[in-house]
Amino acid sequence: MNHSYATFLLEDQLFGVRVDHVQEVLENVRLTQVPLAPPSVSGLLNLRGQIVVALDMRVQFGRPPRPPGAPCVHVVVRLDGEAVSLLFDRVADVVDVADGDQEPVPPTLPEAVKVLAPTVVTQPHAVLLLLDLDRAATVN
Amino acid sequence: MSEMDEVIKDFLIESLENLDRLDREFVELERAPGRQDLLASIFRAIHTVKGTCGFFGFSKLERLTHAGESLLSRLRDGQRTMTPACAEALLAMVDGVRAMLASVESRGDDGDQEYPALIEVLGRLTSGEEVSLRGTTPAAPLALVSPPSVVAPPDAPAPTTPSAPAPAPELLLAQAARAEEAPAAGAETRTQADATVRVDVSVLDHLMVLVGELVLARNQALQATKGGADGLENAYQRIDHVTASLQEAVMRTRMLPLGNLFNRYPRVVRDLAAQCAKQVRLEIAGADTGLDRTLLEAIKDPLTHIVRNAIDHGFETPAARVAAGKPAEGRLLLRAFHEGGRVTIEIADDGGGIDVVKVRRRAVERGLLTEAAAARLSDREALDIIFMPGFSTADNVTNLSGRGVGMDVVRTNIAALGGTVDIESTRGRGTRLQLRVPLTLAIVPALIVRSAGERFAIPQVSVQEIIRLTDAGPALEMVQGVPVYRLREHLLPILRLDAEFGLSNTSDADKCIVVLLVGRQPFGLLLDGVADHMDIVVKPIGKRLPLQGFFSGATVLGDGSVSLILDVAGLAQRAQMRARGQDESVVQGGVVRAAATERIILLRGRDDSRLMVPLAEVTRIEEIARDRVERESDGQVVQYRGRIMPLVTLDARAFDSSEFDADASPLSVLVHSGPRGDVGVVVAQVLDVVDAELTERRPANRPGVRFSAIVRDRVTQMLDLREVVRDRIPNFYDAPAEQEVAA
Repeated sequence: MNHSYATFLLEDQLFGVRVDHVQEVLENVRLTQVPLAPPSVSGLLNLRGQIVVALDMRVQFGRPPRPPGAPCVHVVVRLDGEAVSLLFDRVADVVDVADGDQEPVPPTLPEAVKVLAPTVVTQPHAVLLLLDLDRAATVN
Repeated sequence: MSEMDEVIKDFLIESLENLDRLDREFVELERAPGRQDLLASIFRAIHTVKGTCGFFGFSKLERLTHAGESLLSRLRDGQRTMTPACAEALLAMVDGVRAMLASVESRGDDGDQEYPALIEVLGRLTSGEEVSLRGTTPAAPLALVSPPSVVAPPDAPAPTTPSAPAPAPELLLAQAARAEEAPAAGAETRTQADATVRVDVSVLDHLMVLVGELVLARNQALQATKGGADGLENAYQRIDHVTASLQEAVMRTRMLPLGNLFNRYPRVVRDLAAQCAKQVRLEIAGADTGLDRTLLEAIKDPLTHIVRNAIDHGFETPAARVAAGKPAEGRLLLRAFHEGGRVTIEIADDGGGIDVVKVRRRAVERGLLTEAAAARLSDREALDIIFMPGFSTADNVTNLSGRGVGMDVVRTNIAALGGTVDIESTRGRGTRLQLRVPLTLAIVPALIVRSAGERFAIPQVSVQEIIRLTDAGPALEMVQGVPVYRLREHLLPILRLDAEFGLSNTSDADKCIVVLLVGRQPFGLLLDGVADHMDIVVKPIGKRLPLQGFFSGATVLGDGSVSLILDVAGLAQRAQMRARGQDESVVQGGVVRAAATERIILLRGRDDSRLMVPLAEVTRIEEIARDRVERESDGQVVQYRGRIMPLVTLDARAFDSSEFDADASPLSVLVHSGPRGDVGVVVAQVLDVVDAELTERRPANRPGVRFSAIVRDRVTQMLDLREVVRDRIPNFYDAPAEQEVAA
């Protein structure tokens, strides 16, 4: 069985999210800071009247936070009926992945990666990490 | 969901609604046994439940309702008279039916309980016997309202349901007698059920979201009109009009009459009064007053708590009431009305009222206030003590209340809804509590404020006033690094919002203070300015973002940006917690202060330093001639009021220089009492007794001192008398052993 994955880049690493989980992708969004929130919370955005939390995937994956004003894309996913925005650097292609091509991430990868993206797909030119959306969208 | 599930759901909704009404009707019927209309209505409700559950195959439920229905049909046809035993059994049946329905809801069948004993009792009641569910015979006086009773066998079946305990017979007698005098009491027509349409809450919630959008569109249009285009202005006016009407109409659909909540109380009051052996008549007014259903749900627990309190503590026993010249039966009034865009719910009793003397004493016993602070409170302020955490006036912890949790939780919960609780009480006349809550929580008037370039919304219900800080007016003052503001002779504690939130504020804009009130303590929030007033739509932030008690939600402003709504109660708690942290040293010293000022004794210390002790800890200030001081093996003593009083010098700790042999002038002695007797604390010189505000405290760095504070422009050390005394007499504060007392 094949599934389509939308892929996004954090620096030069590819991450994949099942296409049917992606509600929309936004750019140039005004964010409202949340004082005293954990560092992974970039802010809140107004999505047609609905308040959506934006999470910085750089922080989620244990990297330094994105500097304010740096270009980014909001990948809005729907989880348990609630929209959450995951912040990546850039949008990449949509790819088809066969279930049989998925394998667990190598144990040598950082803990954050193993938890948030437990499966990996090897492609000719890159390695695609598949997100566990529920964990990736959990504020720590 | 299958079609069948859908039908069962409707059955459950309808049946549960009917049961709530039944509780009330039974209690009314008990007072007026002849009311045919009530009997007919009850019969119909039970008949409906029975018929429907037969259709679904809930056989146990059907058997129980059938037994009840048989008895009801006898009662309705006048072949049997309503007696307390009947009421008891029928109420137990309602409880049983409710338990079965709960089981239907949770597991899809009518449960394992069959209630054989209850069914048997219902059957015997139907055939004219007089058996009580509890296996006890109603006392003889009941003959007045019931046919001659048949003595139930002592081994009559025990109740299998969590039935209400039987009320004292004389109580029911009095009620029945009174009810006969006024059979029309409580005979308001009940058309509410016919006049309402049942709407799925999710549909209503959706409507609410849409209205929210419209409000936002209006705000956006308003923003655009400020540019000045004519057409836009017309459009705006139209939107404004529609929004307002739609908002109100939709709010109305979400509203439920308070009667839905009040309906449960006749039964609650009846059962509780019986448990406490009190006679209480419940009167309900304004049951048609509408309130948002979320709020209705939210005030349920606080209201029940207040009603319990009233019955448990508020009303006197019937005998005490008669002795006080009041009717034996107490009157509890539950009243609701709209007032100034809010709903007021009043709970008034004509009981004994609250004894403020006892409240003060209890607060001191519980360590909530010092004696001096309690004595200074006005009676009105003293009443407010009952809202302090850890307070209870009940002499005994009863089944119902008095566990020391309660009114403080009531006030906190109501405050969280943006409401208030007020209390009035007159000794001997009764107590009146008023809950005021907003009509809805979804759309609230708010203040949009600026701080460090960010905008926040503050619900207007908490805002007392706004103060602009100008160069001409009074400025903020710093006391020990903490900002305060003089507001009409009182010091207002100030929280800097930017500092609280760790925002770096580069703005040198006009500052302003928004004075907020939660509970009794006002506090000021220092901000850059107020941007706007508007109705905001409260939106949830989502489960994924922990808000840590600083924000209650978010909203969208006129320009489409998101703004966080400040949780005023959470901020207040933060401010109070900070204050408590500063007071910690005092708490450990055994005194908890609540009032801002304290009466203290000022003392001269070594090298003209200043010392103080709380007046409350000193029984008397004495002058004692030096030649009266005698020596014992372990130190100086003096004969004082026929007993031997040990003396302790502050000199021992080098606080002052009050050596016994210094000169000929008499010794100044502070007499301090403990459970074993008195001790005299010899001090160099008593300077004065003053009322001081000890708000700014520096923790002490030496034993025997609790903290330092500024009194009359001098740094003054607060002595820890207990520490000083224990130094000389380690067991001074221990309770005396029995033989010591005997001796």
